[in-house]
Amino acid sequence: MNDIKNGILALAVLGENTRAVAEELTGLVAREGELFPQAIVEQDSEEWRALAMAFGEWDDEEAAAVLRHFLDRLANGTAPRIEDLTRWVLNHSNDSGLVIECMDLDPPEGITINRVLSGAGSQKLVFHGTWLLTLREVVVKRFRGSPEAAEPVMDRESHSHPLSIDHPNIIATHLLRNSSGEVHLVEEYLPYVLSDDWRAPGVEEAANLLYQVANGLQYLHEGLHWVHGDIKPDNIGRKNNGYIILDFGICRPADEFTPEVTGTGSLRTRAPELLEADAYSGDPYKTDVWALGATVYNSVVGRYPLFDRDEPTPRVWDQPDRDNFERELGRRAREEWDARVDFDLVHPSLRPLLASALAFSPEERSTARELRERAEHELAAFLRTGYGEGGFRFAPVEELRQLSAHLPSGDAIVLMPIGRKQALADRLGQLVNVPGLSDEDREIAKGLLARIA
Amino acid sequence: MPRSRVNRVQDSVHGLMEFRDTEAVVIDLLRTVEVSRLRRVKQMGLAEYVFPAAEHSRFAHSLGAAYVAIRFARQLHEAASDYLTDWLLPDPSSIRDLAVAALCHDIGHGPLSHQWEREVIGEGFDRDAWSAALHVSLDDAKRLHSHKWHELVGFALLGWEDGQLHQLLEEHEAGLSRRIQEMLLGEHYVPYLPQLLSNDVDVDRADFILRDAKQTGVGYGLYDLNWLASTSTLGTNAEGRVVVGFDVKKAPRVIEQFLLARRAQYDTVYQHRTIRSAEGMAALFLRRMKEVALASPDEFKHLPQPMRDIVSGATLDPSQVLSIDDQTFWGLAGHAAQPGFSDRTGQDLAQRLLARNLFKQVPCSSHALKRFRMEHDVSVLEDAIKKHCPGEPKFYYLYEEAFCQLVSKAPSQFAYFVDADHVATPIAEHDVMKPHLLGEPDEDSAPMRLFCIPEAIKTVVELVN
Repeated sequence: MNDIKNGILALAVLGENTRAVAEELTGLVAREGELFPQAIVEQDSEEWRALAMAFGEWDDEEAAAVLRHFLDRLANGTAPRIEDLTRWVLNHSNDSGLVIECMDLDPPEGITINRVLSGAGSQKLVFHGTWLLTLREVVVKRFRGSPEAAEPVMDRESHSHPLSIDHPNIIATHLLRNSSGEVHLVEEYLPYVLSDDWRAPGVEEAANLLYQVANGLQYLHEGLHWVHGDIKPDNIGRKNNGYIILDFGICRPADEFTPEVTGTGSLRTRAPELLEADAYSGDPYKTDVWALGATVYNSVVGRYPLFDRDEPTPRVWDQPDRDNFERELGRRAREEWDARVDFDLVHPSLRPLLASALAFSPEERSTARELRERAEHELAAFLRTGYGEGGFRFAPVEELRQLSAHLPSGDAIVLMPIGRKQALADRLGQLVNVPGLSDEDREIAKGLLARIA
Repeated sequence: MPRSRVNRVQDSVHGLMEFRDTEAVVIDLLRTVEVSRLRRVKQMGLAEYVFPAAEHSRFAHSLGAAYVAIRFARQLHEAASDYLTDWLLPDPSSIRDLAVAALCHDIGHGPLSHQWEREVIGEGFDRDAWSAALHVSLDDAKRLHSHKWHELVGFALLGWEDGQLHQLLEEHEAGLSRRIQEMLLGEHYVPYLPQLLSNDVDVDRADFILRDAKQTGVGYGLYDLNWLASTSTLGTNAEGRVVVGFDVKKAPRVIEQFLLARRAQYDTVYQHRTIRSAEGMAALFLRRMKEVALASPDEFKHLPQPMRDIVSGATLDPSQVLSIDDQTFWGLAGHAAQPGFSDRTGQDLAQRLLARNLFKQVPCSSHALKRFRMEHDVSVLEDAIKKHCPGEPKFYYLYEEAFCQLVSKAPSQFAYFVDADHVATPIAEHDVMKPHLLGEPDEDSAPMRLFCIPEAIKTVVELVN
């Protein structure tokens, strides 16, 4: 018993506030036979010391807030294990709010929560966790507000689930229940998600981003008849050389798409027609296409089409500022379109497609299907195709560069089996004529053909 | 519907070895006289003098290496499919090529391997004369200018148009024999595959370490081949070349185990003092036989022609090479040991070898031996042991340095660790590798030993100390 007390008192070194809570805890330990203190005693004294170590550089007040909340949960009989609390303390330096969010989450059975990923100010909190059954890192989403308010949001996100499992460009989503029967959305965790600062390293990546997200959108639009509503870099992850659409929080059927819904959608990628008063009179699917165009545009030009470089966006809760900014964007769309939606910095191969995705008028804008099909034709040189177990493989330009660098010459090629040599020659013949190939790459293909002749 | 072909062979090391479809040509090739000759060449030379079961042949080893080659190549295809286009990954034909090359990598070896090659053929052998006798073209001879005799012979046997090996390969696919020749010289249309035949962690060593450990009974010479093969992958080295390597997350411990196993074999088997003594004596005997053949050709007139020719330093054509095997050596020893043999030195060495009456290691420190050898002419030692020697003293002692370099210093021989981004780093340069596992830093640091006839041991000890 004394050992437990000593373990808890290790917390007291942080300051007066923490000491007070620690002493309260040790006082409870003395109340043998009671259920509540028993929960404290069951923890190992070394675990208490590890928790004290984890607090390390924390402020006294912040640490005390965490411990106070822990005491409250003890009283409710819902306290987490000290081992879990220690991990949360380590993962959220000096932020009692986030640790408390972790404590308050009752995750689905079999999932341990590691940290809060995002959620400040948003309608939902997103956690990083480990799904022990599948040994996968996952994202667990908890919706703020009443169950009644959360239900439609949950419904929207879950609707993308049943058909999305095997789609290479849409995140796989699972619905799992916790001990209280509440449904949680659990998605595969993608360690790399694009951001405003992400720049496509070369036209190849920009082309693949455009093509693959268009592929995902085509499925969403034509297969499910839903509009994503918030395509932007932060909602696009990377996996196995592919781009995956994430976050279906404001995704909904096209016929339910109303101006109120997009209030939390990003202004950075908002289509010009959504900046007008008479929004949604047209085809709402095209708003996703414009958002995709804006995302790709930012990845190659370094700014969003209607934005200045590094221009901040008012946060969603700052409604007056946001309204003013939205009006300003509308003005820019009407009055400064040509100057702002400028394609000079876009690679010539990509320019026509990006222009068709960013057309001012929804009627003139491509659909996701048209964008995908045109990309397959006009950008074929850059597209990684052949999705399989290992993800996407190589674009024709990458294939050419590999062959140029590593295919031997001389006797080794002369002696290649006839059938393979012929098949390789056929492939190189295709590559020479693949649309979108630069003159330089075309010369590489011709050189390779000569090498194996 | 055509049935796919599968040939299965039971092996004491690898268990059931399967050769599928085009790989099954390996099994066809076992019927050829060129490959079959290896049944009569022991893999471990005279190691059976100490480890009685170490009688396995180069034939079993070569077949095992072919099987290991298939396993590695298949794994490379799987592990690198996210890294290289299909055109640069091993396809069934190239996997078959690698297996055939592994099967044929030793076909040029003579009896007792290195002793035979060093003493009978000679390190400075007449390359032009041998190339001509073996029907190797001048251009190819130039390319092989730095290769050893057994590599030249192996190359010649693959290209010998009258040979069964060449004919069977060509029957399988026109040009295949040439492609195997090129692969053994390091060239192939899948450019990194030849590395699996000759680098620090190659299919040759992968098989013989396990086979030798199993046949000698040296249990600590084992390593986990299954795990090693499963970690093999491809990466790009600092020069931008695609190289064969091993997953740095999974492989360090098994690479250590591999190197330790090899080190254990070196220390316990290959450098065993009795084995080194026997093989050194065999070398001295062959050296003497060559002298006798040149001085008194009639001594060998009853021996078969190829044996007579090769001992006297003449060249052989491919068909004659095929008659040279371990029996050639023992036939020669048997002949020389006869009472009527005129050369007393050769006769005595042959009798000692046949009776396993071997030289003994002189109990002196390596340091003392190195100092003695540096400070004294060989005549000092030979004068001292002369009274104990039935023949010429220079044939009754041998110095030896047990040099063990587990990781090559030649970049072409490097094995690599490969990280998740397919960046390849030589294993000796990677910080996960412990320096002591890499072997002696240079030849000067290798310990020296001296062997001499048992009768002279006491005299030599007094002389050296």
